[in-house]
Amino acid sequence: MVRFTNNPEFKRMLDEKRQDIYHRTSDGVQETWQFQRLLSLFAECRRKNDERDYRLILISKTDLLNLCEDAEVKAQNLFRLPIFLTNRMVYVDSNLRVLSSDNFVFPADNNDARRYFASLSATDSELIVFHIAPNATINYFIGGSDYGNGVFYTLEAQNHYEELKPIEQLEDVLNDYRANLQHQDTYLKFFVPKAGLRALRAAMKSEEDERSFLENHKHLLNNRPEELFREDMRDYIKQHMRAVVSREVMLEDLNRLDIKLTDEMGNDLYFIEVKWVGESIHSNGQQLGTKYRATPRIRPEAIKQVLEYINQLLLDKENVKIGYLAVFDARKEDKDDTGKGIEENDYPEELRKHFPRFIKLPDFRVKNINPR
Amino acid sequence: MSNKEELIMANADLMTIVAHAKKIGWDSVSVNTLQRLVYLMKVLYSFCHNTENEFEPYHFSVTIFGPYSSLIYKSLAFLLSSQRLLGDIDGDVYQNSSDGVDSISDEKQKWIDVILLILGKYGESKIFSFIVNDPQYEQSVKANLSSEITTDSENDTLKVLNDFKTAFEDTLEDTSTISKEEYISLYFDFLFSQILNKR
Repeated sequence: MVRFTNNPEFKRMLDEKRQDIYHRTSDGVQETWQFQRLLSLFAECRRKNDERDYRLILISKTDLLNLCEDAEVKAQNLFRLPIFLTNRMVYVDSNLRVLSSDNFVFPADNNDARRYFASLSATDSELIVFHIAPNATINYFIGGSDYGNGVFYTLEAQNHYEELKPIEQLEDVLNDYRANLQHQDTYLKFFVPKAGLRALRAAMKSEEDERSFLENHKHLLNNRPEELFREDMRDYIKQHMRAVVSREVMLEDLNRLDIKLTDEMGNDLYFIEVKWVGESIHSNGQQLGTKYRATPRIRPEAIKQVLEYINQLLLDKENVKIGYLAVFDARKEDKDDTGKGIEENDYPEELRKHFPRFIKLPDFRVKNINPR
Repeated sequence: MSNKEELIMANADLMTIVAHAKKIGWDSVSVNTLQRLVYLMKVLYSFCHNTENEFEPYHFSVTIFGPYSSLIYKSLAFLLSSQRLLGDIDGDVYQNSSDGVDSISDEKQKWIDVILLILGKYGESKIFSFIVNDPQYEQSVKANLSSEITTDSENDTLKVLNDFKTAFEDTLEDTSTISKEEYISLYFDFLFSQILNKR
């Protein structure tokens, strides 16, 4: 469970944000429901009405506090008015009627622009200035101060988040991940280090000379490699996608999905079953451990498993889109893809109908090119 | 409360939520979002109220798509069949009648607005992220609980929120201007920063 008390980092953050917190909770504007409603409305209207440009909406504090009851209708109308569409700045009243407008070009420099917007809010007429970005991010200015972001998050973080790929681009992200596996920093964690191989050689009482033993066993994976592969892939997806990624989710029949992904709305479900082929070391580090080959481990076992999961999810009325099979190939020699030769007829009839929702991803080759 | 009374209550709650969501620009609300909203309304209720939880009759369990209450499901089926709500093929519902809207206590209406206004800032699409990061929900998923999610006044979400509030009180000289609702708002703000930073 997250702890905030006795958490020096969080307390430091609170200290830094002290002024923002005081303003937000006591400036007579930000804590009002009218302000919060308008903030939600403007963001929602921008989401519904695509726009490539930034917009400024100005409203006096008095008008804001007397915001009309049907603001949701009037805000929608405002965003569709020609005067709004053709002017970067509009000044509105409590009924969100446009009192005046201007189409001046905002200062190009970010800091100049911010200072300028802040100055608009620092007049005697107590204007509240909403600055609306195309991605529906809203900065606002009150009494000469900039409250661009939330207390705890920055605009940069939000922009970065918006750049992350949506779930439909999962396969592109996994292609990038595949390329990333060739980096030494990435692949080393999967393999037994040289020191471990030396200890193994001693424990096995191998007569093979050390150099040759290390070369012949450099493909040996750490114990329980499935966990390493799964976590590594999951972390990569999490860092590069806007999807919600969960691990080992239980199905109703008590099977587990290795990696579950849903779109941001939590409507569409994708999952990835992670398998590996190759050889791993035993948990005691003294002998060779598990060895998996493409057949039967992948064809037919893993494929059947994914098809069964799809079947179960559909029976549970879950909105499953695609079930992926990701195979990490750590075999000693370069071999054909583990998915080569998949025949639908090799699978039970009741599962065959799910092949359109099944994708065997090209193998994720992991090679210990430069061992350490 | 009898089953019938619970259903009548749920009908009024859902009609009010859909109507009030419209006021922040959500013309329609997805069925999943309604489940998630009521879950948050219930799990956070005791942080701001000392009275009995007005959302008590809703019992939630964990599903892949978030918390699920069969009472909400039954109520939606009723409201759709009686055309008080209309639905589209995307699973979104929208208001088609004012029957039942605001026929609940003022306190409950106010609470619905509090939660909607806090979440409205981030948009409907972010609610699922808040749910999967909700301490009580997260705990139920980790424990693979197929039974009801605990949403009593001892739930993990409230513990985290109280801890969050204490950290403010320990660090800032004066927290008298921060209302309980503001703490929830600040907490979601913090949670959102974590989501953006993918922690």
